[in-house]
Amino acid sequence: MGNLSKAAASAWCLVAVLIAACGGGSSGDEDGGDPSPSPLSEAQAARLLAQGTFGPTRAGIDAATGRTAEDWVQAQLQLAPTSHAARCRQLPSDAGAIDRNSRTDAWWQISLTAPDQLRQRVAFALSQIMVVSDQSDLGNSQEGLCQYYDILVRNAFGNYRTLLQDVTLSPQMGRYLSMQGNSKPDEAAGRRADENFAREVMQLFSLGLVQLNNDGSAKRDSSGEPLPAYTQTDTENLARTLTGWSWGGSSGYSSPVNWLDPMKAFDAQHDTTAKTLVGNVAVPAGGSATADLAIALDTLYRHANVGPFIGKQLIQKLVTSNPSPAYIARVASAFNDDGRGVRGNLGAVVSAVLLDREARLGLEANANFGKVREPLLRQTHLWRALDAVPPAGGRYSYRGAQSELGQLPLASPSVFNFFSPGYVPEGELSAANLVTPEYQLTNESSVARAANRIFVSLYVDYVGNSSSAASSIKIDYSRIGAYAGSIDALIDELDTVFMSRQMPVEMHQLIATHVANYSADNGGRARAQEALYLILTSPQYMVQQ
Amino acid sequence: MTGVPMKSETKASAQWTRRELLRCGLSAAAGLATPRAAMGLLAAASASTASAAFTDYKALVCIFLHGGNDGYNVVVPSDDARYAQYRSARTTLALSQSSLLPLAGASSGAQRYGLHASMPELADLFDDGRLAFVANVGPLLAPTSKADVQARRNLPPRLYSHNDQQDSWVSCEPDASRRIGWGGRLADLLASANANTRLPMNISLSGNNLFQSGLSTNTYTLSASGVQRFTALPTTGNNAPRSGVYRQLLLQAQARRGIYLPEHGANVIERSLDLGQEVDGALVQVEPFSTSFPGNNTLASQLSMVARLIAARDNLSMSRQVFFVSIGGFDTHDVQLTAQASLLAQISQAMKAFDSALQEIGMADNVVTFTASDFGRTLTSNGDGSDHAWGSMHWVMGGGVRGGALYGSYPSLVLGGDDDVGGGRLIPTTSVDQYGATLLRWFGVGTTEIDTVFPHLSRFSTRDLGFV
Repeated sequence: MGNLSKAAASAWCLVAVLIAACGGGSSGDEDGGDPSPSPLSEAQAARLLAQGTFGPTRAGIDAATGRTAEDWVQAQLQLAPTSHAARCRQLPSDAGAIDRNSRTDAWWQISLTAPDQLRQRVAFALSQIMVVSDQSDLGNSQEGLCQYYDILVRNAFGNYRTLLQDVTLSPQMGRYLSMQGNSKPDEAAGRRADENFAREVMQLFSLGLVQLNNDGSAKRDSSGEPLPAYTQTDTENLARTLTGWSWGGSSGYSSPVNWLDPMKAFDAQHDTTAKTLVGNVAVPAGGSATADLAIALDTLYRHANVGPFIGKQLIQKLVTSNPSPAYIARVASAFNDDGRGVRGNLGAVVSAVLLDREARLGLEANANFGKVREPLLRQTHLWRALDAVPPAGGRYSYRGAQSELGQLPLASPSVFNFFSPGYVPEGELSAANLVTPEYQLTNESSVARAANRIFVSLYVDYVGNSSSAASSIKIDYSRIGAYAGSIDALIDELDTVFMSRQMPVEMHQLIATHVANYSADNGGRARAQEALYLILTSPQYMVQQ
Repeated sequence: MTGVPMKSETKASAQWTRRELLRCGLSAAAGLATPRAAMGLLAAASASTASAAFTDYKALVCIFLHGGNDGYNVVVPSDDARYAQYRSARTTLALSQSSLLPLAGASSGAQRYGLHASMPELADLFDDGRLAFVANVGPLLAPTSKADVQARRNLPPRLYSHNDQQDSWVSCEPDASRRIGWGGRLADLLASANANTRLPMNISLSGNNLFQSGLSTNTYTLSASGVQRFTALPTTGNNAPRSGVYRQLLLQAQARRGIYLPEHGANVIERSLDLGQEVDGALVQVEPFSTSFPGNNTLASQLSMVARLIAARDNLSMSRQVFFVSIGGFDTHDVQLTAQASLLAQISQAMKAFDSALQEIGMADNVVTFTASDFGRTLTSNGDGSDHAWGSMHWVMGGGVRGGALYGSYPSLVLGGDDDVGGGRLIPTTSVDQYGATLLRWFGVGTTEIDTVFPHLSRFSTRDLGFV
């Protein structure tokens, strides 16, 4: 940089550093999480539903408009869980097997139509935190995977401690991260305990890598380095603590494989020596596998990291990728104490996530508010908002998600999910210290593939089109098309349902001018298709704010 | 005036790193909107001295083995004395001595080595002098002893964590607050190496990755099946107006001021539209290979597409390229012997087909293919698998490779030895910096520029391992 002006550079940097030093968080100076309860406008209702469902529908927006956000969330918390296992068993293959299509068809049906939308949306978020995947031998039992998903559905508003135990003892997690069959060490034979689950349960499902303050920031040592949350020795000791678990039901230690019952303890394979866990928690010698498991899970559950670590990830999955520290702290506090002295109440955490002033005010509260929509959630949104109907027989048989959208429930390439909570592409976003997890799935190839899926959904698979395959989920243009007599009314309706009325004015005008070239005949379908294609493939819609 | 002030508003901490100050200074002094644009200038300036215009073609192909490959079950000491040590450390994970494929060229005195039985194609390539192994490679901040590890001195962050070790491996600057990959830094430096300034030097067949992430350059991503085009956005015909309107939508997203999340999406979509036609058009002209790539092999499919892209180099006006491909499943905590055997067979067959295809188009001397992975694995067994460790074996293939030999220092596999920090987790004795620098020198990168790509290289005594 010899020919550059170093003096000018230094001056600019000084200003920038000063602003950084003085600026502080964008909303940390506000107190209280909940804005005063007030009836939701139509646009506010649409925003809430974008965060808390698989996509707003006109009927859902109408039902929520005029109620308070708290009222809507409370009502959702009361709804009974819809079971994936029960539904998938009703959808066997022609040969009578519960296969992958059984599982994913059930997922699409429930995600698109079940009344307990918030619970299902949170379960989907949890499925990307406590990850198991059928890209492994777990695919041998899709019914078992449906049961695993039901653990997430059942505990979505329950207690984190129960969730953690149900996940830990599920045969799916047991097999996926090899706690199943993890035997006590045998020094003479040169065998150690398996560290797989022990490491990942701390790194991914409970604590994260570094010690956290309640607001999600890292605790640091005197030289400014983040303090690790646990050591390699902690991992090895937890691995030993979690020895002695294998297939449940009437199975023996090694066989037969049992994908449906929780794992059970085999004390003969359990390491009964004394162990010391993260945070210097003692596991006394002589404990049973069950007793030691309880100490281990209690230790993780009580760790101060869980509230900010899990809380922030739920915020990121539902609301915004870059919550302010104060927002994280409010959600973490709800984890730490739900107001009635209970720790780990996930219903209270989800309420805190959605009812926080930052969630409700969005860009008004935080200039960096927003998140990239997940590819799978864009597809559920499209079908929900456009009144999609299943093919004859009622099976929601869309099987292209993995190849077309790059995402499918319980099918990620590894326990690190389809995208990382810390992903950011190099450039303006990383320079601003932001993260954009879902952009990890966005590249030159995926954007075209996703757009082509949208094209098929809009231009081929609609009710009344004879060239649409009989097995396709089909959208119904009758309601949306009725707006097409007025182009502005059509775009306004799509703006409300898809973009929570946040479409920039110039975007509305651009689309309106284009749509005007198409006829309003055929129930307005051509106009609706043109407007929808442009909106749903646009980078503006790709981001939920 | 968007870049710098916006950054400061969102910065949680006032602690600025050297790198950020550098970027800040560059963008300010150059009067440019973004640090990225400023780095582009830097890259252009250095490229004029570093690379000029290349008259030949060279490509590097990174094969990333996701999950952490157990390298010490790829190349195994086969002389009786050291095989006994190997067997003693590896217990249930030990391969049988008789199953190993002899690697004659790797012998040194009484020391013999054998290759995993699932890799006969690689054994042939090794014997032909087209493949070399490099021992005990891993991310290091400096030469590191067991005492350093015990004192936690100068270690890459969060050892044994998959994602952190992957990041350390491909960034080679794990102590920097913000990381880019060495493939990305290389492309930043050689920004003007290619006559085609539209298509990035870095091409991924395996999605977004840190290895290829640079400050001023992008990565172009396509899939093993080729280029994905927007079927609804033709540039001619009745629907061409829709394409025009869509382009304006992208411009609107890019024109928004400040940190605007949709802008990145718009940039990616724009590249997809702009480059899709060009790359697709060049690929269409490539004659089919007579080499057949194995089916049901994800790595082979990706390498097949890389071979096609290399065959299209002249139509694309590319003279320097870096490709990224990957294969997963190496996190063998469980049933390692069968799982790894299957994966290694896929790699061996895929690499052999790739080499054959490159020979077919006369490019075998112009391409070097190398492996990377999260980490090596514990020598010790957890029953029927291994856990996360550090240093591992890697290998390099190409006509220009000084093959048929073992480079670096094959470690002692005695548990509790000088390189073992516990459980058979081996401290690397060759840094990724040295491994990468050797590749870059072959690629035609000058000494100063190599030091820019690998800022810690000077801490290690050997700059060039000599394998290519």
